[in-house]
Amino acid sequence: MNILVTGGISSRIGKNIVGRLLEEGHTVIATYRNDISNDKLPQSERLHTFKLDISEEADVKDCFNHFFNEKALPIDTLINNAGTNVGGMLTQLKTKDWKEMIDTNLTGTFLMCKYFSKYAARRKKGQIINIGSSAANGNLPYQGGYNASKAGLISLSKTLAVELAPYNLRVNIVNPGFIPSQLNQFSEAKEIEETEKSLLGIKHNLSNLVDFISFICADSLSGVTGQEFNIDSRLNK
Amino acid sequence: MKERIKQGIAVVKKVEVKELDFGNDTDLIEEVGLTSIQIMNLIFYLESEFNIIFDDDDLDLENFQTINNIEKVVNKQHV
Repeated sequence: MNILVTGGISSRIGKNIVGRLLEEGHTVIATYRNDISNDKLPQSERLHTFKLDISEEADVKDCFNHFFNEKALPIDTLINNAGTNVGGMLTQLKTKDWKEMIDTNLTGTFLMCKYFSKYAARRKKGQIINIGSSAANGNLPYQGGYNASKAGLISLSKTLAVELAPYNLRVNIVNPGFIPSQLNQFSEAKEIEETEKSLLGIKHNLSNLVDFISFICADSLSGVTGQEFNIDSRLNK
Repeated sequence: MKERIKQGIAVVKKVEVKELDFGNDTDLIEEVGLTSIQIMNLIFYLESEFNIIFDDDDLDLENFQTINNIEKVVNKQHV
């Protein structure tokens, strides 16, 4: 399978997904927004990289044209993993920070889905996996912009699932549990708090998340679309 | 190209193409009865059928109101 992962180099979740998919023999396109040195990339002939700001429509168009047309590397699965989070009370959140979260997490995902669908519909096959967040269904304070953008992502994904089903394109959402990363302003206190919320007393579910993504990418859910999966051990978030 | 466009109209209307009896200047909305959702599906079908991506600026209803108009806007994307 040919799989494109946004934020596949710089984010913790993205890197882990890319590494696993390469191990399993997939061809992976990992996109990145900010330059990164080559020595940090997994070494594989099946890894392609592409510099891309997902909130820029021209970049997104170029990306899909490059892989579907110029490289003749049709993408079977799009994993929208890139995201950003700027913390703060909504009443004090700077408008530019709000816009950055909406532009990347929501508009960027919309653009990726929009242009991927146009190419994938020609092949009558393909799937989109949108990485959501438990924040979408909750009310965690001090990250209201992130929460709102991820809630929007769920609606976007489910609507797309309906619209794209006639073209045999599937769209599902995977919500990771708490995973320490730069996105959630990780701190030791936060990790202790989240571990206490886990019914199983575990620190995070990163390996389960990667297992699940790998399972979906193997086309193991060919009859499933429009669904939201929580990879979590917390009930009260 | 006109026949391929007509085929697309048949697909979105969920009828056989032989059931469609109208001319190339017939209004697809007023006279053929395409709904706005069927027009959107037709646009997506045309992009797939002709391997094109319409510019946002071309996504005016008028461009998709007759087969002749559709032919013009599809040809424009090929330039």
